[in-house]
Amino acid sequence: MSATGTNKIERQILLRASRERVWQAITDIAEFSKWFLVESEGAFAPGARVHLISTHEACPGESFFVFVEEMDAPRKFSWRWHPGMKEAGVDYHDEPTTLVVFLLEEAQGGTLLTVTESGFDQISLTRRAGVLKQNTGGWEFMLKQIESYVGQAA
Amino acid sequence: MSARRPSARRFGGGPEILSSVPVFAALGDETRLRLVARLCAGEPLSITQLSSGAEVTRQAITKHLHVLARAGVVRGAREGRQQLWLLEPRPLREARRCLELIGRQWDEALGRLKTLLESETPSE
Repeated sequence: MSATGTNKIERQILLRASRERVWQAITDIAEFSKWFLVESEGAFAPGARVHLISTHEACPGESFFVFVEEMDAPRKFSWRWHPGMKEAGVDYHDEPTTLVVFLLEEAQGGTLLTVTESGFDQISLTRRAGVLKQNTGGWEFMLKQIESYVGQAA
Repeated sequence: MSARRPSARRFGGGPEILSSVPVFAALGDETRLRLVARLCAGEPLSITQLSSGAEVTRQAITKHLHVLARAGVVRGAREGRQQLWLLEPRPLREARRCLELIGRQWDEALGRLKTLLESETPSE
């Protein structure tokens, strides 16, 4: 819905493993923690609030929550979370969340996994800028991209 | 190759920025998106120009422009007696960058998932 291309992220990856296996790797929290680089408490279940702590070298110890929405094995797993910000002492309870959806489809040679994260247009610009703050990369080309993208939508 | 990774929060660390700034929902409206799209050409446009071909009234267009201006996406400028409107590219650019960055973190996470799954001994 966002012609500016700012509302949603979508990624697809073909995994050479059965759909059941991929489902397990994503929804079994012990396995999930390995590739998502987190430590976890509890388990994923519909309606659950799951506490995760980052083990990523960039921010070890950072704590965050995911709010599980749907678990439709072995097809769809979704959660909501607060993107891009965490300020000590700030209550994010009422802040908008983004929706993360994992879709698993059988494909030749394995499983096609589609991940989307959407709802960014509800997130304030300052918050988004916070995500960017540490970024050192050259992003100039992105400007051109957004401009031509938006241009096409006219 | 991963010496200095940009990092946003949950996959990586988060720089902390506080805000009570208006949300970016400004773009979640078709008329406003269209206005932004037209201003993306770079040239300042008047209300008259921006209203031409639109299905809504000039007043409505004006209202939408003010919403966009409050979100920092466009700004008004006077030229003689005429009010012109221009795009502020920075907010869009930053919003876009932000997604790129988060997208890259998804790429990395999914890459790790792939490695995990495909390094297993194939059983069937």
